[in-house]
Amino acid sequence: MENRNDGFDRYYREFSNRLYKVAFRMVNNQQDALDIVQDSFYKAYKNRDKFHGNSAISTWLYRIVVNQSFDFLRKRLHNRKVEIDKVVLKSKNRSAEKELMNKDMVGILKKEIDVLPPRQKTIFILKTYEEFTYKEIAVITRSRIGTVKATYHQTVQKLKRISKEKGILKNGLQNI
Amino acid sequence: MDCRIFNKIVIDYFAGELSAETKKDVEKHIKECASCRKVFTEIQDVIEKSRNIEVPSFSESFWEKKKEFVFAPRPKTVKYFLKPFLAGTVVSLILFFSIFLLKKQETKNNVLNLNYSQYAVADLPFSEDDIIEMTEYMQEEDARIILNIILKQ
Repeated sequence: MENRNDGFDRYYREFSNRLYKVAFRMVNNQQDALDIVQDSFYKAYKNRDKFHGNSAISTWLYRIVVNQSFDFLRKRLHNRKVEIDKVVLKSKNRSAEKELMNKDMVGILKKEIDVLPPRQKTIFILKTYEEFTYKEIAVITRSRIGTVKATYHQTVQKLKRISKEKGILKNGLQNI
Repeated sequence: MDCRIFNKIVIDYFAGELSAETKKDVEKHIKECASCRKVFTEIQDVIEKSRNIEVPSFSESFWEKKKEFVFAPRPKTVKYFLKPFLAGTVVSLILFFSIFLLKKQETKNNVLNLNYSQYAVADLPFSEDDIIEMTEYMQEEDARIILNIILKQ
């Protein structure tokens, strides 16, 4: 295998699980995240000649996964819009009940992160979980550093505001 | 540090984007300012709880099994943005050939529609074999007349 794919499976072994986690956080579905990672690696492998080493290979792989996830979310958003009218009344009552029953902060945040716009979600995930710098995120998402920083700030403030509205924020100073 | 600056950089504190010195300034400020301390705690809470969201992961052997599939050659697919062009080309070609065949048929019919009764077969610009072949496209009665002329000659 090593010879057949020019050592590319070294990157596969190193990054598959990490990239899977990013994809899962983006699309919130196990099978879809697996498909995204597999397709991304296939795409990267097929286009390996186009990688000129201007950035780290991990950055390049993250960019492919983020783009694949982006495309997936766009398609899902489109499909959801078509169906939204049919389910809106049913889900409204059900989700309100569920929220009351499951009023823990992690659960609520998970739900709120899942419905973030794709761009905000990507930047939040890359910063919070993958701990990339603003500069690295700018390279991955092909944006300006200032835009990345502003988007991240905006997202955290938004999550703070929602958590506050739902009354789930703690008071008092912790672990400084 | 004043509250205005604190509010601008507090998120960067948790994002690991501040220098050690600025981080110390932030920590010093929240000890002195109650309202900023509250903001600090709220952001800390949001980020820490977000980090607690669990994600399923897979073992090395799982990825190893998937590897064969990932690097296996796949059937070539037409890129989505090329599909309309491809469809357009196919439709154009079908149209072009349909028109071409219709025109060809029309020309053949025109030749056959000559008032052949006025001519001897020898006057026509076709060989006998061509004329026999053309009779396949004629009405049965017309074909019989033509064939009779040829046979008589």
